[in-house]
Order: sequence, then C-alpha cells, then structure tokens
Amino acid sequence: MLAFLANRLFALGLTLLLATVVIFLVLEIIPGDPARLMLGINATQDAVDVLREQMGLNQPPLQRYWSWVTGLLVGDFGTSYTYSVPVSELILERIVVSLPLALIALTLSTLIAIPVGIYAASHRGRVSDTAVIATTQLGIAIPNFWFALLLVYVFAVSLRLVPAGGFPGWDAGVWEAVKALILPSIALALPQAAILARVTRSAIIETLGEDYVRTARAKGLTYRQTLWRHTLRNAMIPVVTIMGLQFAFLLAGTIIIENVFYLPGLGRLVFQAITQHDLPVVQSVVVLLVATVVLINFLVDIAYAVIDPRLRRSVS
Amino acid sequence: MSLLQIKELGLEISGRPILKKVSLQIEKGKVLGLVGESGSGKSMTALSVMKLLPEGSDLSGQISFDGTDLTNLDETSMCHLRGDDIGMVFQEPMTALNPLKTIGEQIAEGIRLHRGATTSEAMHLAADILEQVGLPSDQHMLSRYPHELSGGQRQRVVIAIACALKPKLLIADEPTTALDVTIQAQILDLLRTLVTENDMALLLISHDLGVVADMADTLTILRDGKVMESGDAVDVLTNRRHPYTEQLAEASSHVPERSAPPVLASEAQMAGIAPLLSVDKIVCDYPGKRLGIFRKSSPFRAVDSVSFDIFPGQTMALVGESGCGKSTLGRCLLGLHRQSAGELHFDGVSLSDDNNEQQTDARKHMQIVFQDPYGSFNPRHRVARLVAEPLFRSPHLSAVEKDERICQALESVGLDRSDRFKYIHEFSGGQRQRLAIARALVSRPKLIIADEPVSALDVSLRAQILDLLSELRDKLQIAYLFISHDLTVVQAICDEVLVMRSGKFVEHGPVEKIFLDPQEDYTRELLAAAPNLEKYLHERTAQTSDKRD
Repeated sequence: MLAFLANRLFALGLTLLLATVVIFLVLEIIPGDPARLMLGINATQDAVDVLREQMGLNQPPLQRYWSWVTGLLVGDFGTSYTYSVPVSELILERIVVSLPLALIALTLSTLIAIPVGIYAASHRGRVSDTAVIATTQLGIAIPNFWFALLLVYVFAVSLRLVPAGGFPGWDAGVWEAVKALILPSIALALPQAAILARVTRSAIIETLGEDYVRTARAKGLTYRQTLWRHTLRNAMIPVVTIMGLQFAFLLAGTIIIENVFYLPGLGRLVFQAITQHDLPVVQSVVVLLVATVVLINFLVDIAYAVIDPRLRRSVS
Repeated sequence: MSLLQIKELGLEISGRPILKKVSLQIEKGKVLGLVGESGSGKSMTALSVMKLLPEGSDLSGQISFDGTDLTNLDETSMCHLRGDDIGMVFQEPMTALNPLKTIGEQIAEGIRLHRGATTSEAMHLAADILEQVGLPSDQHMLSRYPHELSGGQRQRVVIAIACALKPKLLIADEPTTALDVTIQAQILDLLRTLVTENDMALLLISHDLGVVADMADTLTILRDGKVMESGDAVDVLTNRRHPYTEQLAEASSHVPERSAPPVLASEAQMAGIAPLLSVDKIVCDYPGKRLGIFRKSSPFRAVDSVSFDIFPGQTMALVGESGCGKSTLGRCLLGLHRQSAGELHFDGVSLSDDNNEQQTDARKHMQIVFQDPYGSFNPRHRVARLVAEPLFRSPHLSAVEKDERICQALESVGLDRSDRFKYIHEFSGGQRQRLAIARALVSRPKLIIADEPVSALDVSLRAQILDLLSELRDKLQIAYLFISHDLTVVQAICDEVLVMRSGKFVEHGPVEKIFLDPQEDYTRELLAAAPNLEKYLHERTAQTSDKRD
C-alpha cells in the first residue's frame, strides 16, 4: 500500500509539472502580445512597453517559465492587472467561499443520493422505484438556477429563514456564513444527487446479478444481508468515480449559482478575469483548478484501492 | 423415505413453461446425476430446491426434503436450510466468490450465521474445512483474496463454503465444466471423498455423460423440462432403452466418418510434399507488468521455442491445460500477436518479415474459428456482412462474386442462402458456430485455426459440428490446427497431436500413438483425467460383477 501511494504521488507530481508546461505554452502560442491583449487595441505603444517590462515579458521564455513555476511553489502567483493586488490574495478570498460551498454541496448530494439509490435498487420494479426514477429524471432535467430561484422564493422571501444572497464573510461568524451557503449548496446538490442516485441504483442492481451474490444467498444469507454485506461495497466503484467528477465541477463550475446568490466565488473571479483579459489571474486559477482535479483523482484512486484489493496490486 | 423427493415439479417463468412434471429422488449418502443439454431445465430444478428462482417464477408440485415440504416453506425457514442442510456449488468459479472479501471471511460467514460462532471460532473451522478440500493452512489461504487463487483453487473454496456445515444434501451445478481435465478430475475426486466421509447426498448436474458415468449411483435425464429416463446409472447408460439416452451417449463419443486416411508427417515427408505451414523455433513473450512509471517486470514467455509442420489437408491437434500457451501460439500464427523470435512459413511465403503484399495474399488462406459462438459476432451487422469479413483481402471481387461466395459458404455449412439477410440473434448457438465456420470458409482457406471450436456446445451439437468440420476437410482439402483441451474430440477428428505444457511441446505424434502409447507422464495424466463414458462404464460393470462373485 505504501509503495502504491508513493507511485501515485509521483505520478501526481509529474502530471502537475506537465500541466504547467502546457498552460505556459498555450499562453505563449496565443497570437498577439499579451500586454497589448490586456490593454486593448487603443493603448499607446509606451503603455504596452511599460506593461511588458512589468510582466517580465522581455525575458527569454525559459527564464519566465522558471520564475513562474518557482513563484507558484512559494505561493507567489503574480499580480492581477485589473485589481493591482497579488493574485494569491484574490484567490484566497474566493476559495474560502467556493471550497466550503463545494464540500457542503457534495456532502448533501451524497447523503441524499446513496440512501435513495439503495432504496430504489432494493425495490426494483415496484412503484417506489419508478417514483425515484421519475423524480431523479426531473432533477437532472431542471436547471439548477431554477431550483435556486425557487429556494430563494420559499426560504428567503416567504419564510425569511436565510438570506436571499450575498456572503457576509467568515468574520461575521461561522453560523452567519454557513447560513448564506445553505441555499446555494442545496441548489447545487439536488441535480448532482439526482445523477448520483441513478448511478448508485444501477450499480447496485448490476452487482445484485453477480454470481457471488447468488453464492451468498446459497450460504443462507437473507436478501437484506446480501445487499449490505456483499453488494454495497462492490457497487461503490462507479459511485466514487462520479463523486470525484462532481466535486471538480462543484469547485469551479458554479458560476451561475454564484451569480444567482451574489456569492464572491472562484467561478465569478475566473469569469471576470477572462472578460477583462487579466492573464495572471486566468493562468493562476487554471493551474489551481488543474491541481485540484489531479488531487481529486489521486484521492479517488486511493478510494478505489481501499475498496478493491485487486487494485492495490498495481505495485507489488 | 428419500432425503430429497421431487414430485411432479412444474415451473413457469413469466408464463413460459420451464419444467414439466419433473420427478426425481435422492437417497441419503447417494449421488444422483442430473443430465441434459443446455435449456433442458437442470439448473432450474436445482434452483427450485434452493428456492433461489428468478423473479416471476411460478412453482407447482412438491419438493420434500428430509420430511419437510419446501414448496410451502417461508423465506426465513429457507434461509435456515440454505448453507446449513443444503449446500450448493456453482459452475463458474471465477465469479462465484466476492472479490472484496478474503477467503476466510467468506467461509466463516455461513458458519457464524448458522452456528452463532464467534469470528475466531468460525475462522478455526474455516481453516479445517480448507484443509479438507486440499488447501492447507500453511499457504495463508484464510487471508487471501479470490483473485490470488487459480480457477481450481477457487472451486475448492466454493466447495468449502458449501460443505462447511456438512449439509445433508450438496447440489453441484456443472462444478467442473469451466475447468481443465486434470483439475476436473481432482475436483470430482474431492467431491467423491467429501460425500463418502460426511455421508452427504449429492445432486450432480452435468451435461457430460462421462462425468456422470464416473460419479453417479442413479441417473435422471432431462430434455425440454421433462424427464426422459431415470434409474440406476450404469443400467441406464449401458442398456440405453430410451432413444434420447442412446442419442446422447452416441453423441458424446461420436467419431465423424472420414473418406481419406489420416495425413501423417512422416508419410508426407517421404512423399516429398512441402508443408503448408512450417513453424521454426517460435517464441512469444508477453510484456512484463508495469511496476512503476519507469520499471517493468521481466516479460512472460508464453511460447518457448516450438517447431512443427502442418501438411496440406492435415488435422493437427494442439492440446494442453489452460495457460500452457496454446491459444497464444494460435494467435501468433494468425499474426494477431507478434512473435519475439523464430521463423514462420505459410504456403511457401515467410510470415516473419514486415508486412508485404505476398504476405497479405498468403494470410487470406489462413482463417480462424473462435470458441464463443455468442461473443464473436457483431450483433448490429447482418450475416452477409459478417461472413464477408475475410474478403476485405480480396478487393478484386465484384459485389455479385462476393455475394456468390457468401452463399456458397453458407450452403457448405448447412445453412440457407436467405440466412444472409438475418441478424445474429436469430440463430441458435450451434447455428452460430456454423456461421463462424462459414466466415472462415469464405476466403477459401488452406488452413483453419480452430480455437476450442466445440467446447461451448452441447454434446449433440458438438457431434454435428465435428461432422461438418470433417466433411469440409474431405471435400475442400482444408488443414486444421485444432486447439482443444477435450481429448475425446481430438481423438475423434485429428491426425496428429501436439501436447503442450508451459510453452513447450512435451510430445508430438500421430493420434493413435499418443493415445495408446503415451511416452510422457504429462500426456498420461491428461489422458487419465479425461472423462470417458465407455471406460467408466466398463470399469463399473467390472466392479459390480466382482462384488457379485
């Protein structure tokens, strides 16, 4: 298991290194001068030259790559062109919103989806199963911003239980901050839960048809015992895969929900940075997201190995 | 009072009749062989006893086990019976064990469930049982996972699970069908020992009359859900009063007629005939497993420097246990796997060099028939397109000529011209194997490599396909390389035999010589392990007359 971990960690590092090279090269290959791109076509040549000097664009590419990567390692992400503050500060401000939001949404979606999936699978073909299928179909089809508006209308406008939008910051108290994240995380979690519940249901149904489940029944186990002891863990591989993909999406793909609730999250930061040609911010956030996805995949790999002894052997 | 008495058992699944008034009985400590072809309802009879039938099943009639009527028993009481008084062993050992639990856990589970034993007590018992089934504890069996065991070892574990609590009745559903002959013989021995030592009754389900003739006291023959004949095993199989029994027995030791004498290498060489395929010191390696990003284990040598010739019209058998490299060798000859060393000549053309036109042209005359008639066809294409696949090497043929070739191929395997517009799901298993042969014939090959072409088929279909292959050989002068683990089939159809073990040939010679006078221990083991109806009947009749004297 230790060798397995070391091997995976090494692969993780290598992937990240390759990712920085690709991101750097893409920005090198983009036609035009980054400084001019950022300043717009009406900028004077002098202004462009000054910015080039500021951004260090006059140095040779290899040297620029080196200073960028070593900067990343010590947390120096460069300076935002639009905000004139260090990019790391910008990202940190946003991540304290986006990360808790994603975590709460993922937890909610898992807590809803897995029990629902198990319930539907063990009542396969009955009315309750059909009801679950219909509901999840609806959950996948309805866009999450519509859910969001509905939630705002019911819980914020009518019942006044939680704020309709905005984020008070963690300084305002943990409860206040969490309250502001409740509705957005529910809005994010419901469609994800619908997908995850379906995956769970079909994975369990498939596993229930396996020969070893029949062996377990022939041993004298009841249907319920075979479900808990032999089916669930075997059905978890596809579920964990989907959870990994969903978490990556929840971190950065939440721009619509962030806009509905006026949340200062990563999604909005990227969106603004792209419209304003703020290359240092775009570049850093992209690196950060790549790192997160690679890290999540690493965790998913470990989860696989924990679940399935056959996958622990990749290094023996 | 019999231990298990089934009276007029009827079963419908979703309105489709599966079993029709099946009656059978097993006495304490005796072995009942339940024989039939696939779809005859033998597995469903077993699952009816276990009451583990698929959803939508409707059972009628009576099943009484040890004085209890199982048909009216509720699920809770059935759970108490299953695994305790009735144990069951299934056909496919590779998938019958939970891949995520250790062997120990899986055996102990039933013991804890039925006996209320603690985990450590149950583990102790599990170790004892593993010892009994021939998996000694010094191999750390308890803490191993199923994927770390071979197929034969896994089947021993499945048997250990079923026999852990010494059931009164053991049901074994084709327990050895997925295994090699030598492993099959070991598993049958094990079952026999367990049954005698623990005074268990055994319901042995099999399609192989040889296995049943060896093991069973009484015999019940099923066909389409109906009992054809039942009675004392030796009596039923010797006297063959029922026409279906006769048909099964004939099919299981069927030898196709042949018009030409066997082609032997020694005679062909003397007559100065050039070999069709000549294999010289061929080596096939599989790349080693990746250990890290930059490390690999050393390659696995599947075929280790083997040489042989196949002459025109000759049927060469390649036999050996699974994993001995016989399929890899076949793939290598076909160019599906590149050899690491050695020379290959086919029809006077070297196949060892890089691809060239001559080689492409020669390869047209070498075709393959696969084992699985279900998996080896694309279900979305019509038969015409499936059968025409090898013709991509003959681009000069016009559409009309191609169509004519397809029709000829279909007719030569006993199918109809109009079948070419059908889809594959409209055909039965035997018909599909005919299609596979038609596909191989369409390019008018000189050599067909047949990888276990009949081992997925029932005995009567097997006999038909062997007849077909033999007839095609005589008519079209085709040579075969017949890869098989079934020695009865090999003896029936082949001219010469190559015996392979761990990538090397241990023996090579004419069929008669190898079967009558094997030189190597390994060949002798293979021959002794192969179930043979006539041999067993002979032995058992001799035993009974000895006792009488």
